[in-house]
Amino acid sequence: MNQYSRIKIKEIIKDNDSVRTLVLDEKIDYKPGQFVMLWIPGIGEKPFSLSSENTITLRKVGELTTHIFTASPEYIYVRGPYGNFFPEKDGTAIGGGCGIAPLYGLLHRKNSPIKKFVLACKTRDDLLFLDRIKEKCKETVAVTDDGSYGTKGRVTDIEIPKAENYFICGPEKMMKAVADKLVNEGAKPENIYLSMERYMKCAVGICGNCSFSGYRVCADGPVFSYDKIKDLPHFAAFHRTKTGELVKL
Amino acid sequence: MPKIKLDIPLVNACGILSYLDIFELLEKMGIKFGAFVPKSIGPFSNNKELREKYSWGLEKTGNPNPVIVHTGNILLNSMALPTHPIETWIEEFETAKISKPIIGSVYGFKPSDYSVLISMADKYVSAWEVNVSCPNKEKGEESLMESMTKKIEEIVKPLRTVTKKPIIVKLSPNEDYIALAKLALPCVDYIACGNTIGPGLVIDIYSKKPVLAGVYGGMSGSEMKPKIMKMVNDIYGIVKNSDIGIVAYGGIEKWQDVIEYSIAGAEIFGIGTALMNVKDGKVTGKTSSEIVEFVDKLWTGVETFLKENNTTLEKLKGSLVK
Repeated sequence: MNQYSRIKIKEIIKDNDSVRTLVLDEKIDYKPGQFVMLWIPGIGEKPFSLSSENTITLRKVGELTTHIFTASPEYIYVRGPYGNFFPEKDGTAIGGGCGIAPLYGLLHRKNSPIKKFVLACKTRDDLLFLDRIKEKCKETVAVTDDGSYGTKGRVTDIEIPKAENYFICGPEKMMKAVADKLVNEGAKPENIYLSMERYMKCAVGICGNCSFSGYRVCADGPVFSYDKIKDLPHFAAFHRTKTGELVKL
Repeated sequence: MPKIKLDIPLVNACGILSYLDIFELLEKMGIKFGAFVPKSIGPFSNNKELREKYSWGLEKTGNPNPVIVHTGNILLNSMALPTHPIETWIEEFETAKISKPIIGSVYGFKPSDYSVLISMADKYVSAWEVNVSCPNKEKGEESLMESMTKKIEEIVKPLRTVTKKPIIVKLSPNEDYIALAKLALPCVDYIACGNTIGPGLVIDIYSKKPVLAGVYGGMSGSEMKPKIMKMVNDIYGIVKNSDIGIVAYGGIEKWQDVIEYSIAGAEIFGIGTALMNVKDGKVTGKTSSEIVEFVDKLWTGVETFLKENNTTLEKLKGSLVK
């Protein structure tokens, strides 16, 4: 016995040219915001967020995801879930690009706390789960860089539906820009939750590679309230590469 | 002989937590560690002239994932020393706001690397831990255990000319550590017992492939404690009439382990694998608060025991009745 559960992949859904959703044959007992490590023997292992208890949505970026896209494996090895999760509070979800996927998981909770959803992407094709989100969330707003769907522009250009809490997931600089805008408009930083990402190795808090200003994303996060991180020197500025070197984001 | 001045004789094991920003945060949160041990620095530079002069590389990524596997309460890791250039380490040392002592760890691919690296970063640390015994390697490499352990005398001999700081040499329980310790003793102030054990192998039965991308991994955790306990006591047997101290690294997870290692002969105690949570055989990370709480509880247990028994760690050191 080792740390992995070997799970059959029931289906691989093509969300768009560069994104696939793996539908697993087993449910994973997780809370939205947590992540798992996916391993394929001989290929590699990487962290991914779950988009529901039996789905993982991933973008083609490296060796492991390329293998999943091209070889359509029958099984995937999963360890975790790891880390903390979004609090069970009412709020607006704001997802950028693939960051929509973990937030989509919030909609699957009983009495989902997400009443409003903002999706921000480069183009219409990148707006993951758009129809399903619109079905569950009456107030759904989309914004695309090229104007192919919703408002043309950046997420910071639009009016974000007001709420008591905000849940943000996407590229770090986008998350910072959105959080700053919300704070300027009167939101409390402690009510804004961001899902952070760093290069991860052990995923169980011991190697330190995923640290930013002392916080290890795998163990202290990945979800952080904005008041805790907004003034940290590494936030939206530095990350560690696989050698452990701190470099600019 | 220089000694490491610690208010509390607890430290993290090298390769655990690793980076100065993490130590800075934990110190701010009041962790009961007496010093911090960052990840090993190694023979890598972003300066082309230095690379040519010393035959150094630019950086080392270590093995790809998976780099850890947990099985039967043993953790195997095959990190294989990911290392960034000495200059970027120095930048981090320059900006770190840490008041507790830092024990620098250093490794090399040839004996002279150690003294060159120590001379470059000596002002940032309070002591040096000399890593000659890591059992992990990337494909095509020799591990330090394979390449450097046998050159221990050549490695430690010149170190006193480049640093006045206490020198710890970290040995492996895999080797003839008594013979190696005897070779190192004239030049060092502490012996650390020991590096991860093995390495070991975990196989995925379906693919018939090793779980670790690096194939083998050094083993750690509480299961390793009896082996390291013996190593500490064996080393104590040869250093007890000298000022040379022993650092125990091996499966410490509760206060009783510190007392036990003290009785075996150790005076500094390193914690590693126990900084994860294990529940129902599954491993998860400890938050920073959980780490601080865990170390606090462990140290309180040690202090309570010492008070109740009207003794000290110094008095207990090497008090094993065989």
